Amino acid sequence: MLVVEKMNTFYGDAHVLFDVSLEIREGEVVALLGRNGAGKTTTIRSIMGLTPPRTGRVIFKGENIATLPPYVIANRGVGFVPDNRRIFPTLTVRQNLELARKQGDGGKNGWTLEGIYEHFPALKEIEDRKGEVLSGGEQQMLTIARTLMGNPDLVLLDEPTEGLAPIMVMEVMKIIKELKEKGETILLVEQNSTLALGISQRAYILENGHVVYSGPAEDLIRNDEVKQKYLGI
Amino acid sequence: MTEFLSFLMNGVVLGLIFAVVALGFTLILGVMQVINFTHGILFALGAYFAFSMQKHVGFWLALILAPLLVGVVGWLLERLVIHRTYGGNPLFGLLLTFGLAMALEEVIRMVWGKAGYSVAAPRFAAGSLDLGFMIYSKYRLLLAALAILIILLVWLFLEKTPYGAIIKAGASDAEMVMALGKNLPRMRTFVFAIGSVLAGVAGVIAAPIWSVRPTIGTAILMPAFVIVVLGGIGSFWGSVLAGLIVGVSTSVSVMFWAQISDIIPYVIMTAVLLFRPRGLMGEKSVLEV
Ligand SMILES: Nc1ncnc2c1ncn2[C@@H]1O[C@H](COP(=O)(O)OP(=O)(O)O)[C@@H](O)[C@H]1O
Ligand SMILES: [Mg+2]
Repeated sequence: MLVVEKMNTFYGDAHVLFDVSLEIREGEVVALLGRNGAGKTTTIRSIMGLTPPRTGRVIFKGENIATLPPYVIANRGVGFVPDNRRIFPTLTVRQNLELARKQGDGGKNGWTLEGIYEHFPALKEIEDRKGEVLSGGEQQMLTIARTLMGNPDLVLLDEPTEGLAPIMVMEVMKIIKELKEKGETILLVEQNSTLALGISQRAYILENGHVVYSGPAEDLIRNDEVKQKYLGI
Repeated sequence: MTEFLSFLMNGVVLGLIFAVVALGFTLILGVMQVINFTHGILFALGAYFAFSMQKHVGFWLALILAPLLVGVVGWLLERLVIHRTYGGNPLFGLLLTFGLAMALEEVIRMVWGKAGYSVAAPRFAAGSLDLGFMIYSKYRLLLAALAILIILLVWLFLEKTPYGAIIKAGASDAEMVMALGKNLPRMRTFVFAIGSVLAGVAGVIAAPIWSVRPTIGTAILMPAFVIVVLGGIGSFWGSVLAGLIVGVSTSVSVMFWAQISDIIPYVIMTAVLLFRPRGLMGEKSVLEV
């Protein structure tokens, strides 16, 4: 589904990603781990075209999307769930969702507003509330649901449990597990590697902008040495 | 008392025109972070287009066509040059539109000449109407009604249509709108054109109560700017409220002390900003901690 080849990304003159390569196959959940500042968010932003890579290729469904503008990449089927949620504050919950609907076919799971409300009943109850008054947990639900409304073939999830109360963390993990069971393809960035590895098939670790480890999630769960070295646990 | 009432009414009418101009200005500022100095010239072009057209097509058709033509001018300005300044230093956009405004004012002088024209009110709205408590100009009443209608239409568009929702979303987080698959460059061009249409339509309806001169663009720009800041940048009803405040205070102060009427808007703006840097109805401002 997605093959990233030797991607190099800069913020101005600052070289942040160095020859990052990774792969996600259809239906997989892949964890992208690493310490704060390792380059996880930048990797997602590069794939999305928000901070385009200076060199390297991003092959999505067989085509290089590395030079396309973000809205074209989104319409090709990449869904972006940002790390700080970025709900539109002046729109209602329902408007936030409807805005993200795209033209064309319903994608693999054919998400509709009704389908989203069935899956996230809490959002239906607050559908007329403005984004600015939502709690952190509600915003996190909404930002995931909003991206699903676009029926992406690949979902890039950046730290979905960050800053949430423990009970909401479990709720969000449950949602991601359900998406996995529905067959969504997901790149999951997480600080909490134990949680992420629990639902991923494979994992990559970034360190200072380099991919320093890749392998099956089960192997990494048992590899205390690597976890100690790169994740500090 | 009747004299006061008529100054008050004139102020309300003036305020409604200001509000329409300011809404276009704040829309462009809110979505593109561009302080659009061409906004006044677009207002002037609306007045001139209507002046040239009305002889041939009449008041109502000119009321539709002239603003659309101004929208096309705005669309071209955005597509050709202004879009290049987005995301850069806000000073670039300001300087560029400032230069464009001066150039366009010269173009107006070349095409229509330096002299002013007076534009007659349409015949059906000539004369006055007895409102019971006062006698008032029919055209100004029509103007007020049209301005209120336009304000309501803009509000309905922003609040009740999917495209309005995208524009509001773009004003808070343009990058996120793009990441959700919306063609941001096209949306920005559209917003610029809508803002231009609003400036243009205000120029068309204001033409009969002002004389149409090359300098009316500059003359409307400063009040529009004051209104947007006073009302709170990005606030729809803030702009309407501030438009009315500036219109009424300017008009009524003429009655008591004509010399201060020009500075009254600035005095009010300064006083409000001292206590409320975000303006009357704006979001928390960068000036506040
Ligand atoms: N907008 C930016 N401008 C300059 N440097 C940035 C910017 N965003 C992130 N960085 C730098 O890029 C590196 C990677 O950051 P990021 O991708 O956010 O890491 P992570 O998501 O893994 O915590 C860090 O050193 C960070 O300081
Ligand atoms: Mg991050």
